[in-house]
Amino acid sequence: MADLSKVVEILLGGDKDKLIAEVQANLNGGADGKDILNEGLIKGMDIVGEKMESGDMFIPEVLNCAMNMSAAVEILKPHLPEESGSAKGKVVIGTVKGDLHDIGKNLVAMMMESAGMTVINLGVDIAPEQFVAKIKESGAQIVALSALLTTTMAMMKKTIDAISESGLRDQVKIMIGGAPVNQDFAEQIGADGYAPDAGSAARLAKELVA
Amino acid sequence: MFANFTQITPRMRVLSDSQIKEIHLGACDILERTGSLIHNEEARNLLYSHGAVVENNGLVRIPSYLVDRALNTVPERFVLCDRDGNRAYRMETGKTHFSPLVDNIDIIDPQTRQRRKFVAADAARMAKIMDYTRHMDVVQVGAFAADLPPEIVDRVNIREMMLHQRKAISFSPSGPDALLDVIEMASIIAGGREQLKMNPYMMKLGEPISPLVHDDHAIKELMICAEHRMPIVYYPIPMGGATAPATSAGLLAQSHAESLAGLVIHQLTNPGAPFLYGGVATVMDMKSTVCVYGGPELYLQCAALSDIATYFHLPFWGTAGCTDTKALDTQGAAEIGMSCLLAVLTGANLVHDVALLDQASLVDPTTVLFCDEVIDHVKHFMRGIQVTDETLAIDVIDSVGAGGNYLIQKHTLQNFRSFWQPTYFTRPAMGVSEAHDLIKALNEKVIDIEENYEVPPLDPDKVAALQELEKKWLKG
Repeated sequence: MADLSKVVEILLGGDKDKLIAEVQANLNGGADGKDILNEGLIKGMDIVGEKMESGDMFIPEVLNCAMNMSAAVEILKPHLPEESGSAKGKVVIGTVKGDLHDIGKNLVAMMMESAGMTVINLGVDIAPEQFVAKIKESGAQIVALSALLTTTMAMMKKTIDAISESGLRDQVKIMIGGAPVNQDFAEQIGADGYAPDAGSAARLAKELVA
Repeated sequence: MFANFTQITPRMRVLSDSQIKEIHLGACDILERTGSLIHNEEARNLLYSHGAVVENNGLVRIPSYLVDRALNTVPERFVLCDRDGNRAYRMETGKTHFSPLVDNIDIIDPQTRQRRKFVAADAARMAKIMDYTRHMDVVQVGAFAADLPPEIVDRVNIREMMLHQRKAISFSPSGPDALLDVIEMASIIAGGREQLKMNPYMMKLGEPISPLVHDDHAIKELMICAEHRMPIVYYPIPMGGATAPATSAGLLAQSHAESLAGLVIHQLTNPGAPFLYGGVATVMDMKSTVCVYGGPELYLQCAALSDIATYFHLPFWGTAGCTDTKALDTQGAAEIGMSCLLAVLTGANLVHDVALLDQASLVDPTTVLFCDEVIDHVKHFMRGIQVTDETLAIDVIDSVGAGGNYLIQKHTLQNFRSFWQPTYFTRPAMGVSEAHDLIKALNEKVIDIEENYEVPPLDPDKVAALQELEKKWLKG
C-alpha cells in the first residue's frame, strides 16, 4: 500500500488545493481509492477530532478540514466501490416551526457531515408534516430537532407526535438540542437523545445508528 | 473658577467619528445591496410603499434615505416611570440605569444554594429582591417558569412584578396578542392609555436574528409598540465568526444594519415613537461554540455600539453584569466588575442582563445583590471630580501646613461622608486574619429580605382591574 501519511499531513494543514492535488497524485500513482479514503482522509479526520477534543484545534479549523475532505472524496468517488459510498447514517435536521434560529443547528449539521454522515438540512421554521415527509422520502435513520425559543419548545413535542402518528417512529432515532432544552426535556417529550453542543451531537448521532 | 466649565465626568470612547461614519456607510450599503429578510408582509408593504425594493422571497432592500429619515424622527431620549408614576429612569445622555433578568430556566435557591428549575413562585421572591436593591432600575421579565404553560408565563411573571415590586418593567412577550394584553396591564398601572404613552412604565424587548433576518412576531410586535408608543429595544446578538464577520468592524456594520432595519420600520409605523438602540455584540467561543457573555470582545464591541448610538443621538442599551461561569465565583466577579464599569464609562443608558449566569440560563438573587454593590461602587466613580474653591481646599491645606493632619479639620468633617462606604463588601481592620465570606453574607441578606422586607402593596383598584383583565388571558 502507498504511503498515505502525506495525505493525512496535508489534510491537517487545511489547504484544499494541496489536498486535492495530493489525492490526485496518489490516484495517478496507482494507489487504491479505498486506501486513500481510509488510511488518508478518514485517518486524518480522526486526528482532527482528537485535536478538537484536546483543544488544539478550533471549530472553524475543524470545519475547514471537513469541507476539504468532502471535496477530496468527490474526486475519489469514481474509484471507490459502491458500498463504501454509503454514509455512516442519514440525518434530517431542522429548526422547528415558529423558530428562525439557524446557527446552532447549522453547526450541528456541519459537525455531523464531518463525522461522515449524510445530512439533509431542512432549514428553519419547519412544520411537523415537513419533517414527516422528508423522513419518508429520504429513509433517514436520525431526525434532529432544534429550538432556541422557550415558546417553540412545545413544537418539538408536536413534531415527535406527528412522526409517531405517521407510523415512522420506529424507523428513526430522534435527537433534540438548543438553549432551552435538556436531557430531562428530551425524555419528557419522548426523544431518544439530547446533546448540549455540536461536537457531542455528532457523536450521539453516530452512537444512535451504531 | 474656570474649571467648572469643563468638568469631565469619566467617559471613554473606542471609535472616532470618522470610524463611526465608515461603519454607518457600510451598514447603509448592506441594507441596500445585501438586503434584509423581513418575514412580515405588513412591514414589507410599508417599506415598499416608501420606496424599498421587495423581492418575492421576502428580501427587502432599504434605500439610505429611509435610514436618514428614521434617524431624523426617532427621539433622542425617553423616560421610564416606576409603578407609582415617578419619572425615575431617564434614557438620555449622562444617565445609566441597570436591568437584571428576574426569571430564567434555572435559579439558585437561596435556601439551599443549589441550582434548580425556576418555578412560578420564584417570581414574587425575585421581585422583592429587586424592589430592595438600590440600582436595579428596570426589571427584565424573560418569561420562564417550569410549572406554567409557556403561552401565559410572560403575563403571569409580569403580573408578579407589578404586584411585588415598584421598578419599571421590561419584557419579552410570547407573541403579538400577548403584547396587547401586556399593554392593557401597563395601562392599568399607569392610569390609562394616554397616561402610559406620556409616562411609560414598561418597555418591550425584541431581537432580529443575525445575519439580517427579521421574524414575523418580532416585527409585528415592533410595529405594535410603535403604534402604542411603548418604548422598545430591538437589538441583534451578532456572534463574530458565526452569525457575523469575525472582525469587529464588519460585525458592527452588520449589527448596525440590523438595528437600522428595525428602526426604519418602527419610525415609518409611527414617527417619533421611542426606540432604544442596542446590541449584544459578541463572538462565538470557537472551542465550546457558546455565545461569549463575558470577555474583551463583548466589552469592546458593545462600547463601539454605544459610540455609534451617541453619534446618532440615540439612547443605548448596554450589556453588563453577566458572566460565562455557572456560579458567582472569582471569574464571575471579575467579569461582572469589569463589564459594569465599562458599561457606564461608555455611556450606556440601560444596561441589561445584570446578574445573569451560565449562558443567560441561570438567575441568582445573591448575584443580584453582588451586582448592586458593584454598581454602587461604579456609580460613585462616575461622579467624577468637582473642582471649586471649597473642594480645592487651598486654605485648608495652608492652615494644616506641612506635617499636620486633616482628621480634626472641620473641612474633613463636612466632606468625609461623601467617601464611598461599602454595604456588603468589607475592609477589615489590620489584624483580622479570617477572610470574609461575601457570598455567604449576601445569601443571608437575600433570606433576610425575603423574610422581613415588605413591598408596599399595589393600589387595590388596580389589583382588581388586573384580575378582571386576567380572565381574558388566564384561561386554560
